[in-house]
Amino acid sequence: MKTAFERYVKKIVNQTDCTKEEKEDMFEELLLHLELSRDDLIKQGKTPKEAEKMALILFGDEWEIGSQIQQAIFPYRKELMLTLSIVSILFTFSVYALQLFQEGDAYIGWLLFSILTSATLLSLTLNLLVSINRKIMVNTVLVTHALVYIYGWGIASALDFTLFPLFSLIMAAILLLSLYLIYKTALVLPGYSGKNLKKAKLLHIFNITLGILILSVTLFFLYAFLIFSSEVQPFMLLFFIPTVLWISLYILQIKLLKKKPTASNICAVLQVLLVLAIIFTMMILYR
Amino acid sequence: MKKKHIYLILTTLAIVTVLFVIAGLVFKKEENEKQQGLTNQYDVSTQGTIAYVTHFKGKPQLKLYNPTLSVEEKVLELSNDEQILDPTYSYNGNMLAFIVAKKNQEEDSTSSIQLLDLKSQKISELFKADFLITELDFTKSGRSLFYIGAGSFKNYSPITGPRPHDLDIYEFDIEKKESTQLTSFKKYGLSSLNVTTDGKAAYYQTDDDADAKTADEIFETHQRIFKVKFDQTGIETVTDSKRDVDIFDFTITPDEKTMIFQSISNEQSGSTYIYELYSYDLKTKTEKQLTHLQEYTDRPVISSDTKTVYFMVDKKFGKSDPQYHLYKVGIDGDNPEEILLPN
Repeated sequence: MKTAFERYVKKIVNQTDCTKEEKEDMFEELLLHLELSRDDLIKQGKTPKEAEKMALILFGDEWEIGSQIQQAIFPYRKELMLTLSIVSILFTFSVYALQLFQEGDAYIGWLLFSILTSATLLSLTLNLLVSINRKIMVNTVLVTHALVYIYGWGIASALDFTLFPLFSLIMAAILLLSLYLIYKTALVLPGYSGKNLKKAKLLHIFNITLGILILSVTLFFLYAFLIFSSEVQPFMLLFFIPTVLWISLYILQIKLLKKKPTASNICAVLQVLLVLAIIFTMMILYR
Repeated sequence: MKKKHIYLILTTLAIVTVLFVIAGLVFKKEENEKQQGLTNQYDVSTQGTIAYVTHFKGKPQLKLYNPTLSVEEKVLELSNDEQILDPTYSYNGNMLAFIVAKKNQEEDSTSSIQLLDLKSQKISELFKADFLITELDFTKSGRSLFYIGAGSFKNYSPITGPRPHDLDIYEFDIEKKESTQLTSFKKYGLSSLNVTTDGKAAYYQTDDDADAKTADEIFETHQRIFKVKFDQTGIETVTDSKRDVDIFDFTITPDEKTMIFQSISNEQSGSTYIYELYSYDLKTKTEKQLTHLQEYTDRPVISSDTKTVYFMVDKKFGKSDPQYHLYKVGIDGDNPEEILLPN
C-alpha cells in the first residue's frame, strides 16, 4: 500500500509529460525532499503523524506544484496546447456545419475523430488524463490530431472557394502548432544530461523529421491512388510499411541510446537506407 | 482549473458534438439530391429556341426558352436518380431528341432516347439501348439519328473506377426503328459528334493515338478532330496534326467550312487552365481565338444562320461544383454577352 507521501508525489509527477524513467527519477527526488522535511519537523518536536501532515502542507498544493514543474520543463506548453485544442474544435464545427448546410454532406466520422483528438488534447492539457500523460502518449495524440486535420483540410477545400483561403490559414496554423508541439515535447529530456542530452536531441530531431517525410510521401501516394480508384482497397495498406518500419526503428534507437549507443546508431543508418530505398523505388516507378 | 469545471467543458463539448451528428443525419443530402441549377446540356433550334437542362433538388428538368416567340416552359421533369443528356434539335427545329439515363451508370447503364415533338408537345421513347449513349446528332433529313454508344462500362484497370469505353458511332433509322453500328473504333474517348448534312460522314473528337504503341507514345498523344466516312474509305485528321495543345469540344457549320473548338489558352502558364473557344477555317487551315473571357468555356453551338456562337461558361471551374452560364458571341468574336435563362 502506498504511503501518503507516495500518493502525493505520484499526483505531482503524473502531471508532467516525461518518460517513465524520467518520472521515476523525479518521484525519488521529490519523495526524498518530503522525507527530509518530515525528519526536520520531527526533530523540532512534532509527532511523526503531525510532521508528515505539516510537510505536505509546507510543500504546497500537488496540482499547483505539478503544473509549475511542467511549466518549468516546457514553458507555455499548457497555453499552446489549449490554443491548439480550442482552435481545432472551432475549425471542426465550422467546417462540418458549412459542409452540411452548403453542400449537404455530413462528415460524421471526421467530426467524431477530430473532436475526440481535440478533446483528448484538452484533457491532457488540463491534467484530466494524468495516468496517461506521458510524452509518447502526448506525441501520439498530436500526430493523430495532425493527420485527422490534414483530412479536414481536404474537406474544407470542397467548400465555397471564397472561404478556402481563411480555412487554409487556420489549418496551416493548426499544423504548424502541432508540429512545434511534437518537436518540443520530444526534445524536453530531463532524464538526460551532457553529451547524452545532445545526442538524444539529435536523434529525436532526425527521427521526427524523417517521420514527417515518410508520412508525407505515404499520404501523397495514397491520395494519388484514391483519385483514380473508386474505393479503398486492401493492398493500399502496403503503403504504410515504411511508416511501420520507421516507428519500430525509432523506438529501438531510443531504447538502445543509453545502454547500447552503437546499436542505436545502426538503427539510424537503417532508417537512412529505408529512405534511400523509398526514393529509389519512386525513381523506378517514375521511369 | 477544478475537475468539476473540466468535466462541465467536456460534457458541453460532447452535447454539441451529438447535436451536430443529429443535424448531420437530418440535413444531409443524398448525392442524387445535390445537383441544382443549370447544366451544360443544351441546344439552340433554327427558330432560336434554347432547350436546356437544369436541376432542382437533383431532379433534372428539360426547359425551353425563346423570348422572341414568348416560349418559356418546362417540358419534362424526371426523378432525381435520372439525368437528361444532350438535347439535340432536328435541322428544321420541329423535333428535340434527348438521352435519359440513370445517374448511377455503374448500376444501370441503359439509355432511353426520347423525342419531343414540338408541334404536339408530346414526348415519346424512340428506342432503348442496354448500353450508355453519350451524344446524339440528327441528319438534315431528320430520318436518322446518329449517336455515340459505349460498348462497356467497367474498370479498365484494377485501380480505377468504372468509366464508359469501347465507344463507337451508331445510326438509328427513325422509320425502320433499327440501329446500325457504323464504326469499330472501340475508343476510350470519343465525343462531339457532328454528322454531315447528308449523313455519310461524321466529325468527332478523340485521341490521336493511331500510331501510338508504347506507353510513352500513348502518353504523348493529343486530342484532335477527325472525320470518318461511313463507306469505310478512311479517317482523316481535320485539325492541325502538329498542334501541341489538345482540342476538346467542338462544333461545325453545316457547310463544313468553319469549326469552333475548345482548347486551353494558357497551357504553359502553370496556373489553372483557361479554356477558350477558337474558330478554325477548314479551307485555309487557320485558327483564331474567338473568346477572351479567361474562364472555362464549353459546348459551342452555332446558330442556323451561322452568325452566332452559343457556349457555356463554368464560373466555378477548378474551384467547386460547376456553375454554368450561357453566353453568345458573334462568329467573328464580337460582343460576347450572357443569356439569362429562367431557372
